[in-house]
Amino acid sequence: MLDAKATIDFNAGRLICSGDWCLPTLSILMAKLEALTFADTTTLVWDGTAIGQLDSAGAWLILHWQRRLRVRGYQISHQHFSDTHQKILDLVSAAYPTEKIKISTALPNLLAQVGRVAVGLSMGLLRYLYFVGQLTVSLVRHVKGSARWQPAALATQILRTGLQALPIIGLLSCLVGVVLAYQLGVQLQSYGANIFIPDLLGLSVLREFGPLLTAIMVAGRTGSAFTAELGMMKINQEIDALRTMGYLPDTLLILPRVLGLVITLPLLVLWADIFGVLGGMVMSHAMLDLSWHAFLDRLQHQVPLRALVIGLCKAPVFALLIAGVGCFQGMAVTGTAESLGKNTTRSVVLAIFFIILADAAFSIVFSWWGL
Amino acid sequence: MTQTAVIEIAQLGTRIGGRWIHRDLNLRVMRGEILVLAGGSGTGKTVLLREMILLRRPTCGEINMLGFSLTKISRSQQQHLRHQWGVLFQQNALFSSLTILQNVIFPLRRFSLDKTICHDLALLKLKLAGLGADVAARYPAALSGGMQKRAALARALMLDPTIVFLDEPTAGLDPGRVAAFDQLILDLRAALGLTIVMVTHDVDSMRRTADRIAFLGEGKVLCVDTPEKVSQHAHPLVQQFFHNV
Repeated sequence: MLDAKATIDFNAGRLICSGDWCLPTLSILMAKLEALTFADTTTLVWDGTAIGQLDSAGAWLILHWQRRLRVRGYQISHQHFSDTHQKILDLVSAAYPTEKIKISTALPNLLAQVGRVAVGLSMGLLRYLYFVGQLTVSLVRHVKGSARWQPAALATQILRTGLQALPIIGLLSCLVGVVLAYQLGVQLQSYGANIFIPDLLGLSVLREFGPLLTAIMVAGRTGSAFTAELGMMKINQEIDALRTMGYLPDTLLILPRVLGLVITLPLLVLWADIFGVLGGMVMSHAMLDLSWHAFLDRLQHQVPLRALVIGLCKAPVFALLIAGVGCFQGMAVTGTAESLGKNTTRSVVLAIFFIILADAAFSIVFSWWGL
Repeated sequence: MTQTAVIEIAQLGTRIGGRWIHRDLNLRVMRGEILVLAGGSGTGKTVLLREMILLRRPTCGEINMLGFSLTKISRSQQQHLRHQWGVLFQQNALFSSLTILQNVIFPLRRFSLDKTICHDLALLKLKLAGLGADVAARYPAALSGGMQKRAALARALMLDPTIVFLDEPTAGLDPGRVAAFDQLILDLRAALGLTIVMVTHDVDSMRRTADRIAFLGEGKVLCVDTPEKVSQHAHPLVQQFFHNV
């Protein structure tokens, strides 16, 4: 089978096949058939005595060529095919594909394409608004007490999105603090302004880096998980099962995720702030010989509490963005593995995009208010 | 029917999660027959099938397929063996990102054949499986369960396999379609001389198609025989399965 040999010879009006006529030899046989010329004869006898193995691909080839030769005006007959081979030939001949598959290769109309994308985007936005509205209604029903809270689901989400994220968030924030302190230190050292490092470091970590980096990490870690979990449940028809039992996925799946993240993200930001400042402090001590006491003293007196509060205020908004986009993309998965992957990617990209957009908006608003 | 065994399973044992699923299981599958693996839920039918198609290693024991021992087989021999069988999975396992045509052509990739030939061969197999050219350009998600089963069968038959493994091929189909699918399997066996190993729960379906039924229970094959004889077997598990006693 692995080193299959097959030939076809033309001799005195007879086409003599030998060897294995099967998939591995198909391309060789095609080439040999193309090379044959049939001189001075109009009748051809197809002789199958010497065929070893014949599979449906081989049978297809025989029938395919017979059709071609008949079109060219030859009379064709079979001879000496064994019973099993004849059976395969009959089977293939009964199912011989005559119709051609139409695969459109025409380039799509550019205008139509633009229109389709535009409509698709606005429909997506509409569906997202619908999703947010539905979630809000569901939240109101919970607050009014007409729907039951799911404390266990909420606790699970807090555990998974909050507690289990602590090590990685702490580590990365600490490293960012170290890097920041190093870069600031290099600049400040040349002016002899070492003592200002807690001011700059504290302000930038508490107000910007803490919330922003934590949100981006959580978008990658938790937003993608939301999409993948809900998408898989959608593919597996678990969401449909919930609905038929009279439960709304909003109540059981989405609201706990959104609320859970709204609770945990500010806490994670605080955690990141602590580790960011800690990392910076260690670096300042090592590089700039700033004593622990001096660092903390300066931090306390020079960095306003406002910076921390502003940073923490951003966190719930970021959480809503991450969880909202993650859950929406998860619920938008449609049946295939490809769509699951696409939506998970989209969930992370969109969440990070909106986080940065929201952060910029915060900066503008706070500067208007003079904060 | 020549009486040579294509699959021989000897003293097979499988341990999953601290529990023996199979213990001292013996079974022979003859060339050209349709063997049905039957048994209650959790008796390890699908596990046994997965062990036969090299998706899972048995804990102990021996499986001999087409002259190769599956426990001592080299990588290239594994590849060689894999090209000799077709598998229809319980959930069809059609690639959801490819069209039906691309799915069916998929096994042909390594032959570097011309595209039009591939198309014709795929259409041939689809037609054998009872599907027309109109479904070829559609995606699996756009097909009904029965059509997906047929498309998956067409893909399993693409390389003219010696052995075809069917895992619950008729699960989720309505009785009329089950009968049609059974007939399809019988026709294909007659025409292509296939050996078929099939896992099924459907008693009517196995009565129609099976040459022999291997009834699994208590970790081994309780009996292997023709459908009539198996359904008369005295073991309480067999009686319960066939007659709801």
